Amino acid sequence: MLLFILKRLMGVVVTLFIIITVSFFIMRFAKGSPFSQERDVPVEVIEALKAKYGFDKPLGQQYTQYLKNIMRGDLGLSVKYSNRTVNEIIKISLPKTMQIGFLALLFALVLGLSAGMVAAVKQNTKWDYSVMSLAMFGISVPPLVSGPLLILVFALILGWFPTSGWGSWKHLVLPSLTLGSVYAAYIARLTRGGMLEVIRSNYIRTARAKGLKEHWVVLRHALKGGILPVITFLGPAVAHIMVGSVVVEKIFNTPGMGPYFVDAAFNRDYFLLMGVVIVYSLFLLIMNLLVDIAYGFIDPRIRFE
Amino acid sequence: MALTKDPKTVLPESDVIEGVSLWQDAWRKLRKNKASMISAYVVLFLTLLCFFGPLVLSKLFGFDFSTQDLAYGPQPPSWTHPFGTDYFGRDLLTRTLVGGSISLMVGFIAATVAAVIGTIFGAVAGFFGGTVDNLMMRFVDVLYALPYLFLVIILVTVIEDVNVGAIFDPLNKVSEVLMGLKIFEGRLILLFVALGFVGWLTTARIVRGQILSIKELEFIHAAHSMGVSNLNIIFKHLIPNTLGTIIVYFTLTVPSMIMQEAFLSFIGLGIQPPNPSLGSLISEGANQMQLYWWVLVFPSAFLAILLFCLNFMGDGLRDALDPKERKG
Amino acid sequence: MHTYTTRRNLKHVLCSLSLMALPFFMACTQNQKAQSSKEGTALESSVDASAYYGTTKPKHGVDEIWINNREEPQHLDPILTHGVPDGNLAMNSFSRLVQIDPTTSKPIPDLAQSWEAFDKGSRYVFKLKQGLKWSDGKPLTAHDFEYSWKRLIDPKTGAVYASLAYSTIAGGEAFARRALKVTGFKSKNEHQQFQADLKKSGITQIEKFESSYSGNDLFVFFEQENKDSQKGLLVKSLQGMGGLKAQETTPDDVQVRATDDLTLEVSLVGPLPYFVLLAEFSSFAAIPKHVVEKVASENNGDASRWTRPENIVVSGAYKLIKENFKIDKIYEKNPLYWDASNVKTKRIVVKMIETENAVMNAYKVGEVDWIGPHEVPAEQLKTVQDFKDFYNDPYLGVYYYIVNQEIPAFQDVRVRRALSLSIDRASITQNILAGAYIPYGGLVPDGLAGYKSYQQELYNPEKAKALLAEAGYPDGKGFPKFKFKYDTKDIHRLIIQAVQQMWKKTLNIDVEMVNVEWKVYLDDMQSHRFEMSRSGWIGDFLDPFTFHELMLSNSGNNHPLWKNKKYDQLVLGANELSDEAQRFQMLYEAEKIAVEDVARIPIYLYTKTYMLKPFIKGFYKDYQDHHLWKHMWVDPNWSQGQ
Repeated sequence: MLLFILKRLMGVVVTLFIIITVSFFIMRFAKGSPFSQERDVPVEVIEALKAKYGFDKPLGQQYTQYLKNIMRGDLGLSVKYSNRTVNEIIKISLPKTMQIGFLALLFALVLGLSAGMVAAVKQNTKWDYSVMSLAMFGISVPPLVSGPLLILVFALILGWFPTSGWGSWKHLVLPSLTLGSVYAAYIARLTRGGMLEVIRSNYIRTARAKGLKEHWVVLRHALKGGILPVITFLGPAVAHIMVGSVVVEKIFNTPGMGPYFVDAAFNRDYFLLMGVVIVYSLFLLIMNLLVDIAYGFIDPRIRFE
Repeated sequence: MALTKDPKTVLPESDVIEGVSLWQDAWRKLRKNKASMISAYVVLFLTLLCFFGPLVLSKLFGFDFSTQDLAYGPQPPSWTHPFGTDYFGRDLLTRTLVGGSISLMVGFIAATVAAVIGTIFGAVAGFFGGTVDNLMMRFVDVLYALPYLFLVIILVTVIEDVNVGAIFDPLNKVSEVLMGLKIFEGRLILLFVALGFVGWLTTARIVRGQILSIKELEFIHAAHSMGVSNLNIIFKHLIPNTLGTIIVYFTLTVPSMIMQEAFLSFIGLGIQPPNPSLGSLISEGANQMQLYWWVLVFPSAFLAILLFCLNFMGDGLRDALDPKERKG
Repeated sequence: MHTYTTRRNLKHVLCSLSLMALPFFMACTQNQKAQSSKEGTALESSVDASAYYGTTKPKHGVDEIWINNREEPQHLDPILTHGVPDGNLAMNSFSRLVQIDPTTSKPIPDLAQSWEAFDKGSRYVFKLKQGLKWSDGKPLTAHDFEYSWKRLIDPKTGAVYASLAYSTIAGGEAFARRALKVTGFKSKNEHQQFQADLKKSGITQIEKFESSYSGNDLFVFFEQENKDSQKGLLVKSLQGMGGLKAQETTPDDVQVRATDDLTLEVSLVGPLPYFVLLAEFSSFAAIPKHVVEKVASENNGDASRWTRPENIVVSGAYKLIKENFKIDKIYEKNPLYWDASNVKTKRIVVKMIETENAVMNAYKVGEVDWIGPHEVPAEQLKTVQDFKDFYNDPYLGVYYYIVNQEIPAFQDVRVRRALSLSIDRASITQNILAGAYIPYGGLVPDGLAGYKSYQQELYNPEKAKALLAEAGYPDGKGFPKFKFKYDTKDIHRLIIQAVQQMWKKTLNIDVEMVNVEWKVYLDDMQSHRFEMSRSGWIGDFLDPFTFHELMLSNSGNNHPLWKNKKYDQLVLGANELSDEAQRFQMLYEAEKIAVEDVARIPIYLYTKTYMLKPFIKGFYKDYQDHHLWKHMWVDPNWSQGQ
């Protein structure tokens, strides 16, 4: 097992390296320069700016310099937020995103798992239908719509929460609800689906035959099997939720890391974009590793080679 | 072991018992599931409405999705405009239908592409396991982490220069008659590619996970020992047994593709005006929600109904295809 | 095997739909309620609170104001100002020589006590006030201005607005563009010969020559390609030639000098009547040399951290106390500002709400008192304009469409006029923009500093059709299908959709809309890679020249490449006239040429829509949308003074 983990960790490093390399070169393919302005900017100024960021050197050299910097933990300078390094920006914004993400995930798991379980156990009853209808609601109403809706009801009309921004626990509620509702719906459906598949399979019959009580059967056996697709889904979902939803953070104006995925791309802020990509990739790869480890514990049928 | 005699002569009873293939059985069960069938009909109805409705409406009322009437502006629902009009005075019903057709195409095609590629990829990875699995999943990881938006941006600039219209001209002629616009334009193709590009990754992971747990089951071992080829095992045994999950995931992917398109519209890279899509209608409407509620409600409701029915269909399909429920 | 029944299925569809619809119905009734309910002003007043958008009671004390500045600024250093958010913060912290009187829009003293123009406006001498201090107590002198203006021009600084300075100050361009200075001439008459000799010498990539302002030196400007090697060649070739020497330009070549602690002398490239107005621009502020150099020495030569709260030293009314990246910035009154006794409000909280919808919401519940540089979203204009705290002020800008003049079809002025005449501007501003902007037929804002603009006919579809036919495309036949590029912003999309239809309806031509993102759009504009596009210009200072200069043949901002020698002559000649009436008349003639030749297709004159809480006083309408915080204050009894 340990060997497995070590091998996978090495894989993480290698994968990260590939991601960095591919991203680095892809970014330069897109048209547009970070320094384009509305007014005509003198060539010499552009040259001075390019020199500041190292863009005047040949691409290969920039790449090796970048790798060297990463080894030292230096993610470079941002073009748009010229007063700050990428490290600073990520240090300031990531924790905020994670706070929202964590709350959203908590909400999604609690609501999703319990809803899915109830629906699977009470299959075809009104419980099943109402739960699944709510789940449908969660899926068919994107954050693009539910966000402004929540703001309208809870911030503008009722005035319980602020309309946007950051600063107190109140600022966390609406964004996490918006973000979590979609995941809750998916989790509910996946849990239900996975549990149903298992409920009817052989080893449940065996467990029943042994005379175990109904809810034991469900909790211990079905849930384990049902949880598998949820875990698979959670891998990338957690990474995504932790690193920020662009839409939610833009709608609620939260100073998290999410908007950079879009804004840095549009601003051609190469180092900032690379920085957030690296953070995201790390999360993703580690989460996937954890998922695979969890597989092993939950489903003994899966063996590790 | 080859049979030397016709089973029907050896065992006359076998004449009566008909073997049922997986798909025949599925179809039979599906038809029994009322809710799924109704949902399927609803989807079919809505699809036909989306593709033929605009033509009818334009013949009856003279609307099309792009004629503006600035002075008229946004008006709430009325007899002439059942869904109301948008900011430019364009009939919202027609726009919703045309948008629906575009979204449906985007959703289905992108989701199908994603499902096919993802399933094959995930099944191969899960089946072979070991280093093959490792490499393939690392490849998935890399693709997943890449700045997706940059790829979209690059694709946009590349596609702009390619004349896709030429390839799809005959189809465009049809769509122009039906709906008044050439559907197959650069941006649409871009969406298929961009969305499908990211969509298959999660399917691959899911399928791989399922395959990993199924491949150790007895009947697989049996197949192995009978000498069934790997290819056959993957396609005839493993994948069909995962179909339930694949289909559930497919029905989850279609709406997510449509949402992705809405996101791209939100940041300005999706379907270009004046062509509508449910995604862009919703993202426009969300801004005007406090003032002109109908601009948001009708496209959202339309989308919700579509998704609802797609999900029920998905459930039905899943139950129908579940191998453990096979009869006879 | 499960069975779903029709009834249950239907129940759930209805269930979910009504769940979804509920908030909308709430919203509808709320809209009605908002119109009729009173929203808690505890004050006994005769004011109908519902006439205002949202709450009318400040959510903070009276010695504090909450404003929005749209986004996290790129730089707080005024020299490096990048755009509006940067400028708004810089102008409140760093004073310039002059400021604009909010009631008369004329320049009045800020850090300068007085100024005088010499040589028909080619030379200015500014006298500073006595006893000026930085916020850390150190004296502020003319040397700080000399240092700052030279730093603005220095290409190594990387200031985007450097051109405002170096295109006006003598010697500035030579320094900014790293020209070579050739010294040792006995008189300027030798320049001609030298230039001729150079041509024969094989140093070919010379862009231009310029005599220095004083002395007999000659500046040699090189083209961008192979600049360094060409320069090296020149330096070498002059070695050992006896007498002549070529060297790099230095800050000393820039004709800005502090002749003593209180006197600043500036020599310009020629008579520029608008220079004092230009000197008000936020990049012409003084920065504290002692702080900048100290921070640089502590950080390996990198001075960028000097604007952090722990380092920053200011000369203006407010100083940065605290910043929360992307959330807000806290400013407090600077007690050492020379006019501190007139600064009314102690504390300013600057928020950074990026989207228009979000800021409108924040404004409604009182999270900001003023929406700042945002505009009221177009879709909300129709409803919001009836509120008393909605404002629509003239703004120094023109919005227009451009067509690339390198394309044959667009070289025919009749085609351009046809395109212009078939746009029903009134319908656009009335219906799409809820009457917020003003349909416009000129290229310079009318009334700017008293300037009268040349206007042309706004809408004449019949004439447009006739012109297009005359140009060889009757009823649009044969007219190529062009692409109209625009950047992703709602308002552009709204307008171009309408115009696209109008062109189709009136001229029967097809124009394809292509949306590109911001950086690509900028790139394409700069490199002239477009067929048709939208554009606009917000003036840099309060003089019509800032608009005329755009259309000069050699202007880097002349994206459509419209060139006209007579126009150039008139515009540049106008600067020589010291009588303002005569100058404006010449500029008028120039504008007439540009408008009649459809150098651009004007659409509307900008206005600035914004929301401002009724309890904020001291807020003056300003053509450039500059509203200095030092004038503003909170009046808790505002309703009495209605």
